[in-house]
Amino acid sequence: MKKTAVLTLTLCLLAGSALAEVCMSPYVKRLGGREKFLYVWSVAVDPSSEDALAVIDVSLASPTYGTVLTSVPIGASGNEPHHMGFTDDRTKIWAGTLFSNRIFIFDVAEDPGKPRVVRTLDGLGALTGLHGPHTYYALPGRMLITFLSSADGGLPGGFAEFTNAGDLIRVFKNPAEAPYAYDAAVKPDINRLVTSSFTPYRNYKKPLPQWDMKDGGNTLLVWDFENRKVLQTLTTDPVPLEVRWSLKPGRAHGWTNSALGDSIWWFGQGKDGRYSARKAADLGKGCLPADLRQSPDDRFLYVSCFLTSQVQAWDVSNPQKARLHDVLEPGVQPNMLHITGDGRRIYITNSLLSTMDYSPNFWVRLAHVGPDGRLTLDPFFNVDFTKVPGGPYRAHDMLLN
Amino acid sequence: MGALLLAVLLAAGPAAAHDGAPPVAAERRVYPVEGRLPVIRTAPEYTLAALDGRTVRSADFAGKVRLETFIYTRCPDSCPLVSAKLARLQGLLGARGLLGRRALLASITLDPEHDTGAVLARHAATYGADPHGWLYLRGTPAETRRLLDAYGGVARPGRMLAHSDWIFLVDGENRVREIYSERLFNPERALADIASLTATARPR
Repeated sequence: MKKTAVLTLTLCLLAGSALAEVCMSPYVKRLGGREKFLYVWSVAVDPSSEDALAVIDVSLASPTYGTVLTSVPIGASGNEPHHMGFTDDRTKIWAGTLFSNRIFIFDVAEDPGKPRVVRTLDGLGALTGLHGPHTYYALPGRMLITFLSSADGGLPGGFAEFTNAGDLIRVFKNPAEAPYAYDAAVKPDINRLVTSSFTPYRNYKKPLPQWDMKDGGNTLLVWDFENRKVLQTLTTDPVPLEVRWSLKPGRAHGWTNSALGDSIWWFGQGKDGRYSARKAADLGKGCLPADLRQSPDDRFLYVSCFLTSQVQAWDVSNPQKARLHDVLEPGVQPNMLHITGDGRRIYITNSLLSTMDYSPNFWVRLAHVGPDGRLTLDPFFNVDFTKVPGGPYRAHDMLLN
Repeated sequence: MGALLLAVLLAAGPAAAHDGAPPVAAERRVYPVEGRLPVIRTAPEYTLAALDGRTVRSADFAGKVRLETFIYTRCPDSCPLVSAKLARLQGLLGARGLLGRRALLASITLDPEHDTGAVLARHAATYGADPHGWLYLRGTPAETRRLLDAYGGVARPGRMLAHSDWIFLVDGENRVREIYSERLFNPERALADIASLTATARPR
């Protein structure tokens, strides 16, 4: 190559060295600057209202900062909006529903402040043999979607891959010995995918007191990602949920939160190449850790305790032995956390599932992360989702743009 | 833990039930369940101009495996990185005797109005592109726009140069078998994928 090409390449590499956005597929295009919009996938509380994608203004200089700019209704209630994810080029959001088994594709490129549904994927049970789309994991030009159940609401769960346009490519069912599905996360540099396990539709559709607490998984699957082949099944405390790989290149370990074990588990590769899992932290009895996030420098894990109403910060400088660093009390039943690319802010919502929520007060709040890693609740950022026009809504998953 | 959970929730009162309609029993279809390089989609057909002025049709590539990417010469971010990695891959393909004969690289400009044949030729020379195996292609603005849309919105309408960094691996039957992104594109891995597809392709 000529010198001009080498110079251009150097400049490009320097320009691309900003901090990675965490807890998102590494294939997703990174946000260039500070966030301006916070999307909140919201469950209508009132059956006569419509579930919606709400947009909160989080542009600091804006006169409407900290308010809901719009909420985009999706036509009905009862869908149970849950998680969502960007396509790799960040032009679309795929947002799915756990009861109606649908995926709504929103365009957010044309006007990021006004998402627009461009396609709805319906009939997913017949198409994929699966039900309950959960994790939306971007691959180049494609989306990998985990499903919690088979089409009849039972087991096994699995995952399906679609083109970014919404056309099905292929389906994978969980193996019989580990049929429960939940989250998925890829570590491309070591060619590994790890999936976790929750409970199927036949269980989570019921009010929580009626749940069969034994109808849940306690396994992580380690996959050869490129060949989509299960290599190992690991056992953890019951119901391991979020899968978070270490963000450092080449590191072959990560963490998950066991919802019914009140614990954080480390998983990783040993010198013999085999993976193992072990408990890294006890979170306190009755926590019910619902979400797990990480700081961009790989030092802290943040976990929401849905039942004890805390957000805990754990120092994982020693990845297999986490140390409690700080505790924040953001309000009742905190669930989803969304951390900014610079690691300085964590947005928090407080609905888990309409069948599990135990408070009628729903909100979106903001915690600041200090240089010492300690958490402070922002007293000026408090979006009351019981008063949003079109609502009240249960605020669930979030994305930033 | 389960008992505690139930106690807390029972004290709070039962949550509202939201039983949706029961899912319809699946009409099972058979999908490939394992393996690398599944058929992702059919690649769009096109007619473009090569640097030597000849007309090139995607159908001309039947039987050959190709990597197809979209770049433009004034691109400040991903395109130079893509081109540098393709330069590395060109060398690897040449060493394996695949370049030109069994496999091709194709860089299609997103910006045909600026990227004239002469501009593209200088750009190709910068990266040492071998015209027998690494084609730089240019369409009319309308054909370029149609192709970008057909490939799934490589560039956004009205903001043509805000583009993705996708690199498409297309087999000898014009089917997309892998989509790489620049940031995680590994020329050695791509060589293995191309070699795998050329081993099963029927040269024409």
